[in-house]
Amino acid sequence: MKRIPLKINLILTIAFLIGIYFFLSNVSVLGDYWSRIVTLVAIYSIMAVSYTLVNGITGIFSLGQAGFIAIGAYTSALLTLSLQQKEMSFFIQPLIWPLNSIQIGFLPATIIGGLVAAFFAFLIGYPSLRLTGDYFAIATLAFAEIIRILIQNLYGVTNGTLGLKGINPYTNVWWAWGWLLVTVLIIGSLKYSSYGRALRAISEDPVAAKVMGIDVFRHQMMAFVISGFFAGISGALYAHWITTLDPRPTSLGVMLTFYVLIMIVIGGLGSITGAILGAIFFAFVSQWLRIFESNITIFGFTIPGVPGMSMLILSVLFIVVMIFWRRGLMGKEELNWQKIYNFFKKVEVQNE
Amino acid sequence: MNENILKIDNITVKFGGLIAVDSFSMYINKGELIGLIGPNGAGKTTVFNAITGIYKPQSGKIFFKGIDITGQSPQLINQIGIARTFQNIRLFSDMSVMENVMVGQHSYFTNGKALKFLHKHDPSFPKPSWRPWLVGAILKTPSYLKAEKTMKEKAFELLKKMGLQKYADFKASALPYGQQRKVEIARALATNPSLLILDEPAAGMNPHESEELLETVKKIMKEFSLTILLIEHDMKFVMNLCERIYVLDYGKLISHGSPYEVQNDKKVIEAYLGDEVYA
Repeated sequence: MKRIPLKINLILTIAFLIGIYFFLSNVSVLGDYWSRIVTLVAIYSIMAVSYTLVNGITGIFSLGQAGFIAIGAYTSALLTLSLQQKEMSFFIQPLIWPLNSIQIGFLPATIIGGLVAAFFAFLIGYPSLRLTGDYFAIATLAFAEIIRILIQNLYGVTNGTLGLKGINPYTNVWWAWGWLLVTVLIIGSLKYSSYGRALRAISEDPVAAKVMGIDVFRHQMMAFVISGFFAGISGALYAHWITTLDPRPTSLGVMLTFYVLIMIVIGGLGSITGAILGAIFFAFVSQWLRIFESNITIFGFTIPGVPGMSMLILSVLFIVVMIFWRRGLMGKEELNWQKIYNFFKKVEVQNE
Repeated sequence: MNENILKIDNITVKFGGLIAVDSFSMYINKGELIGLIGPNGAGKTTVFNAITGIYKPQSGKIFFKGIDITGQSPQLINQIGIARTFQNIRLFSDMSVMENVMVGQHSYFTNGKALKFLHKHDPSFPKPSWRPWLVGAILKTPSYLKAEKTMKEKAFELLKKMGLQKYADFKASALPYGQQRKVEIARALATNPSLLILDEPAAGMNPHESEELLETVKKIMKEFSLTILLIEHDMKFVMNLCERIYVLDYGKLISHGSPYEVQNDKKVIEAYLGDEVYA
């Protein structure tokens, strides 16, 4: 196969980015509903890319991602809510000082949300990273659940089960896709650096990595904290997209972790572009499958809609993907122009 | 006086009730090539694991360049100058040969902790300074890119010396067995060791391959002014190469000396072939 020269690679990438730019600036043509989904795709992608840094590239199986997303979401929402809204929402217990007297812009709130999530990732990672494999997964799952239960019960900070309402819908296509670009640039740059090589080495053989002088604990910690930061960012974007937050297990709890896990497994563990493909797949398919939950009429027959049917079909689709692509769509590799070129070349050869 | 680069003082390693290594002592002088032999299960690899910090000995002390390294972490021990290979090859099989070697160079970027350790025990070592390598690596600053370039060049040079340059972009798992061993040695050399520990380097090789390896080991030893400690079952390999040999049996040192002395030691023959009475 011919190798694509760097110049053409660069031109294609720039053309691709310009294409995305035009798509996003004309996204309103698709209507309000679908442009919201396009925003959601970017938010899911940030969740998936940050998650794949830990679960894919570093190879430690964490189940705590939803905890960091929830922390980012709540922190940023509490910072951007208007003072009147806060007074109105917190009627069981008033909001503690100083949160009840500040309101800041969206960008600083997002960044603070990310930093707080990163700090919690450090606190949780420090004891749990001494465990390995399944034990680490269970520990992080438990910590994420602790975070959710804390949110549920700290009425003075999070308004508990009443949740937060009336969050300003700041998140638009540009914020979401802009943060996705930042996430991909930073995590991609990390993956293709000396540190990325060390992280991949750790995922393959931690003992050999140690003997090669790599401080496994510190590198895993670094990946965990960076992942926590971007999970927090995605949570902040999510909060200002959905505009209400509550601590149910199905909204910001374990289920969210498993949704993101599905995205990165479909995309291929360890692949950044794979994670984005997985997020796109998940966001669109789970929206399309909603038609199965309402009544469908085919040739005069009416099939009654069953609530929860979309999840069932999604699971079947997921199993099908896993049968045909054992290691996800991308495996550990990244999607690049060379791959696309090779793919079309192959198709061409087969057609001749 | 000869300078001991490694000195093991009466170490004992136990796994529950099993005594794998029983008050074992040895020393290695700078520039020596030492062999460690013994029947299967004698505890040779356990000694290696104790030296490189994978196991912590229950008693006894290990000194490297006069510094007590007993119970230190494997990464620190590697960073201050002991590198090893494994009995069953442990390459990062999904990465290319080049990347494998470059992983070995990574700790050079972040060796603050090792430098601090050395500085604490021997003030003549330079004091570490904090360098923002992680930020540099993400933002791809010129100083990082320069370091990355040097790493690549050095890695390629190493591969060239091992005769592996044509495999640089291959996946490590795609290489034949003998070449994988060489990649492992190259990866260990990339960490800039002064003591190289080889765990059965010729295992599973045909006579031609092991001959080639023998030459390579001799070559790198001279070129990198290394001290080498190796475990080997191939007696021809050991007898040709090593200056002194330690013989272990059931975790105990049973003989020590030049290849000739060891070969004619009654105890060694007994350990390998059995007692004369029963023979």
